Amino acid sequence: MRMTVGKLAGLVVVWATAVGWVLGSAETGMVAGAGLQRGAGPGGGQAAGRGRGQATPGPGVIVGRVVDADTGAAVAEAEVTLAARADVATAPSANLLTAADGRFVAREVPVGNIQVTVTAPGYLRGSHGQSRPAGPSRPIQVTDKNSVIEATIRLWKSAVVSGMVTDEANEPAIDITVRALRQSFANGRPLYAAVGRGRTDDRGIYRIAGLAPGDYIVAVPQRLATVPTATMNSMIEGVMDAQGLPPGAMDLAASGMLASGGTGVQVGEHMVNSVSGASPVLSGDGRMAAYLTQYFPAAGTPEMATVLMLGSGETRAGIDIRMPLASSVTIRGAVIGPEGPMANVPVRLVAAATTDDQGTLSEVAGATTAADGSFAMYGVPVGAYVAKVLRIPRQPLPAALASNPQLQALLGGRGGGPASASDSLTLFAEVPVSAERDVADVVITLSAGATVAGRLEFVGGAAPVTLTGMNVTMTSVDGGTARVGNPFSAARVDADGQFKTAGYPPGRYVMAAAGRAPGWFLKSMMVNGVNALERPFQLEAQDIGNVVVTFGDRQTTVSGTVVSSIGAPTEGSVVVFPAAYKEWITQGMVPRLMRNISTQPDGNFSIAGLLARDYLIVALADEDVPDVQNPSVFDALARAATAVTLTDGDTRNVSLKLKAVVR
Amino acid sequence: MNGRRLAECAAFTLAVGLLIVVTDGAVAAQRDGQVGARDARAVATGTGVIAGVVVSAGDPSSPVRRASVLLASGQVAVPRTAVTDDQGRFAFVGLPDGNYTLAARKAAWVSAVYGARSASDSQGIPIAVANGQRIDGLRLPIARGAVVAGTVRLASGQPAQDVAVHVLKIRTVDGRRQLSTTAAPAQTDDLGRYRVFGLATGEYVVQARSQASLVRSRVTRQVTASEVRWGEELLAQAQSVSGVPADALQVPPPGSAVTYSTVYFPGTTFASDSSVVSLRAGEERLNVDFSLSLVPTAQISGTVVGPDGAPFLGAAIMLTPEDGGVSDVLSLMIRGGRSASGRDGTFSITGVTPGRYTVTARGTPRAPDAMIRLTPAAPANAEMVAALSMLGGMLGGANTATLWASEPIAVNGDDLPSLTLVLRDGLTFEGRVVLERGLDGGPEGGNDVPPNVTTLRITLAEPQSGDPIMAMMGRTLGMGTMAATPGEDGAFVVKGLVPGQYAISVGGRPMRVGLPGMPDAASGFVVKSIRWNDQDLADTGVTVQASGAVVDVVVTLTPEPSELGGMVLDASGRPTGAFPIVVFSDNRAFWTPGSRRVKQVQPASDGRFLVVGLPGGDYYLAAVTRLEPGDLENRQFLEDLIPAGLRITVGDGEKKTQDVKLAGGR
Repeated sequence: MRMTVGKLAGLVVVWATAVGWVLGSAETGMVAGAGLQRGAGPGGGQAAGRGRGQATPGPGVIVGRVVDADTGAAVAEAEVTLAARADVATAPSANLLTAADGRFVAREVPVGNIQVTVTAPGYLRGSHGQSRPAGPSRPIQVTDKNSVIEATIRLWKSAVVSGMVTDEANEPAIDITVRALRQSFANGRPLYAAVGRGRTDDRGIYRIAGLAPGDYIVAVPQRLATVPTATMNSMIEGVMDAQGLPPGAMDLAASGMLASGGTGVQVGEHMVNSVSGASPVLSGDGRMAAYLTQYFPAAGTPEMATVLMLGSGETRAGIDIRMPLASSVTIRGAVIGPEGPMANVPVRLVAAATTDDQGTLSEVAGATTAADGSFAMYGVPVGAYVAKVLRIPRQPLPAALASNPQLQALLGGRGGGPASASDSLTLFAEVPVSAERDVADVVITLSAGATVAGRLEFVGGAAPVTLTGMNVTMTSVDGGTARVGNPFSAARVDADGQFKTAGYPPGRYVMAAAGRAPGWFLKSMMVNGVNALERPFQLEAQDIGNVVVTFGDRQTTVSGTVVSSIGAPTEGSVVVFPAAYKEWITQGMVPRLMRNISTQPDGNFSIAGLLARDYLIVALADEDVPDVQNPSVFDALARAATAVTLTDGDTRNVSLKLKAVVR
Repeated sequence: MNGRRLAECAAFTLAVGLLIVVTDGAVAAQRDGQVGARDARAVATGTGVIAGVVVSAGDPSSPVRRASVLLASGQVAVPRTAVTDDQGRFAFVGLPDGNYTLAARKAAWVSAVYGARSASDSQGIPIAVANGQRIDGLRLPIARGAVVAGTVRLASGQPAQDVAVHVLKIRTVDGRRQLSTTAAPAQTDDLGRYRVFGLATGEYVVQARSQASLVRSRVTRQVTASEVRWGEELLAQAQSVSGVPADALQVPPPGSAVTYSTVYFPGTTFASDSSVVSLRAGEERLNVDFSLSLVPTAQISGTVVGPDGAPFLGAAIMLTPEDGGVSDVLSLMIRGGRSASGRDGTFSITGVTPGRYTVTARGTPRAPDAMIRLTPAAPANAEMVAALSMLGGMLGGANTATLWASEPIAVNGDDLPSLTLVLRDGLTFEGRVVLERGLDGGPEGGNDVPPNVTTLRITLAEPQSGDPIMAMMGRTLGMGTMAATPGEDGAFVVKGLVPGQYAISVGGRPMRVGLPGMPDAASGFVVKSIRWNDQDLADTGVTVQASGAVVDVVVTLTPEPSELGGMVLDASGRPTGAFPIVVFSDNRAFWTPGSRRVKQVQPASDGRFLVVGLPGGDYYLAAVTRLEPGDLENRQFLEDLIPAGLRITVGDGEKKTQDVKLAGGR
């Protein structure tokens, strides 16, 4: 074999990922070195301490114990990570392995709020202060007066799903990915988040461990991607002959369409790669049959799947799934951009009716266009779909990078920046496709996204800010393509305080502005009369100008103490949300209007920076805090809550009794 | 995930990806056995057909459904692939004439090449197809792989989760044991269980390595019993009013920094002490259980100083274990990639397990300054510089880093806090590339320079010995490999050499240069000689002395390489493709790894074979029943072939035909 396509594809993907990392880090300034400062969280892999900027030994000693939350048994050889919050310059550097009795002693701990997280095989990652699995954690406060602290960290056993996957002939399906999807909510919308994955062995058996308690569905996803053989060839030549990656290689790598496990089938001028699941089956008459995404026990959609309610430490065996094989159709067409047919454009085919907002499983097939802009998409199950294209603008490289010879070599001498006028546009299309039989001539005409422009205004007496250090972001609150992460980079503000975003597809968006502006607080972002901080505005095909972003020098604060039913201060959680919460929910649950925080151990809390308006506020025991992304919890919260009106520049003090919330 | 972790992951996956490609490339090059393959691979279509059925090996055999069948040749860049139907059938149509290699694979089965004589035979018999010819009814047997399964535990007896278990095949090359990966590693589950499948018959060792030890930048300390006692006493004092002051308590020393070492079944940290697991075809070996152990680790830190004595930013630092352990070198290389110094030139590598190592630093002059200007806000982006250098180095087939330093160290669990690595300018290897007819009195500076000379790479590679994976990684990362591209006039300067012995190769494909067994080919030309001071370095390699540069080297390419071709005929006079051909010099001095005077070639199914580019000289020609990887580097293997060998003389540029008749026996 010269080389298998799958291996090559894998290479190109990792390669492009690495290049992307280098480029991305250069562009945003988030280089590895900067990462050292950010990486204070658990698993952040921060500097080893002694080599760089040695921490002054702190006065604190934490004498801790790691125990099984259900049985109280000691957990030996658990790994304990201490990390400081932002108020301590350097975190304690060493992780600790607990002794046989589950004990650990952390020494020289600096004064401050110390996060303690623990990992151990078979358990969920645990943190100090958790009172339920994956619940809110609470740092340990180390002070000069209180420097020897006893702490117990409880770990909950993770849940497990296992079973067997077979193909249409009841033979074990080997080396197939199985996903566990957790039912949850984001901004009020239900979604299935892929949180666990397993792979079948030679017996077709899989096991997915490490699951937090919750409601799950289990699926064997199938997705095919059709790539022109000529594109694969040019990638091989580009790699082997050091000509660099061909144009569009980065787009292709980012699309995931090359990430096949080396299981492709060649059809004429195309390779049909299995991105997830099993290879399609080509019969002698040239017809292709494809496996269908299947949910346990035998459902074609998430809605029809059986929901598994998993408790802590529960093992659910026998979650067997059979992969159905069905005849498929081929969709052919072309992608037309502003300058004519466009090559190397990824086209995604997504089920027309889906509640899977992440698009991870509803995307059944993909293709990339050939040099003449045409595409063929093989192995499409019969059904109704939307063909989607979203191409974000290519950013020009910083000058210093553009002239780097090594990078030039990697990118084939093109420097990675926009090569033509359309490269700097956001291009998108969504075309419905009814695939009852083979479909030809699907013309996908790309439109340019609309931009949003405006200016920043500062009303108040705080010190002037460096405008060029500010930026403006725009986030979709709709489902669909634009929702998968946020591929757009922030719009930079110029020296005159003006900004203009990249083009965005039509939809509902909220905005935010950020940057270094000490003493200033974001008050409003007026877009066509709508404050885009608190509710989404509608973007159509036309550009929007004259957006006014106003900063003031005063903000709201609500602070207070949580007390128990007998009036004693106690730790807990505080949830604050708009008094007009029903309207807020219908408008997409803009995160800026809601907070969910843990109090200090003495019950004190302080929440600053909410927009001035009427709110409801409620205190709950940690274990009672519901999923605040789920809109249905707010009626119950509202019944137990206290009204509070916040105004800029004022601090409201409230005393909150812990409430039992009936859901 | 922060930038650091991303860099590590990207660099690691990248290296592994490249490793796979290069490995495949080496195999492909050996099979092609011809030069200028790239030009011949221009897109071609034809009317040939290859069809057949994949069946299970053994008796009785049955069709194997859903097997992938790959068809490769010099004529198609991307291998064609097909999947067998429920009757095990496959077909490839529209083939141009040529020799095709056919392979079948299926998860949990052992991949097999058509005509393979053993499980380790990766060459098989190429199928010769003429345009319009239909070759049907091929039977491609594949065997169900063996399985190794068991449980891995932590030192405390708990299950070890997310541990990678590799089942490594044992090969003996020239009397030395080598380990290589043949099946995908398995991850242990929450019960510590693993299952590796699809293994070929053979002898193996089983290795477990904690993911934690692979990419890890935090130190982990084992909490000791005395620390726990001390902590409990402190607590008791804090809670009692009249306790003794804390100062009065003796503070115990902190527990040692530890990591989970790589462990081989049944429980040793040394590959050489591991038990051999012999697997029969399709065998299921259960209960291969063992435990990880904690070993003390050390931190190695110090300063990199440039030739001018100033602190140097952005050098890539690598730790190489002296005994060349299979696995640990991977993580250490990655660590090296990111350990390169802040502005003050300091570096630090944590988690180094006990052993003897060489610390090597390589730096690229000036490049770091440019990188720093890029992100003025960043405190130090040395890791990015190192990552860029590494990426560029891999693509270009060689490092741009021409500064070097090297220091042997011994690590026994104690930190080494103050190493100083002083970068020195590397030595050079200089000369020019000429075409043979230019030497024969052609016009100077005219067509005596090969037309595409600027696409060539002259590569010097340090001998890669020991573990093949480590050697491959080293080559892939451009470690110990320096290269240069000639200018329009054919002149070249290879910079950055550390004193030592190097093998020289000349190639048109930067990704592939320096691999043993590859033809020194450059788009149709082959290397005739590399002359320096009356020596032909093409045979001997070059020893670079600390005392000075190697200059005035003349690399002579010839457009008319010798060709030794013929047909293999069986005892009854029929052509056969069943036996590999070995051609090797009668001069034992040339029996070196990667020698251009020791070649193998696999005849096609029509019995035809062709060896291109042998230097003029006397050779033995022998057909063998089977060829294992590494056989050609085994001197005894060649010695044993001499009695059965056919003695032939090949002249420079000669096109020689020599048929081989088999008389039974070897």
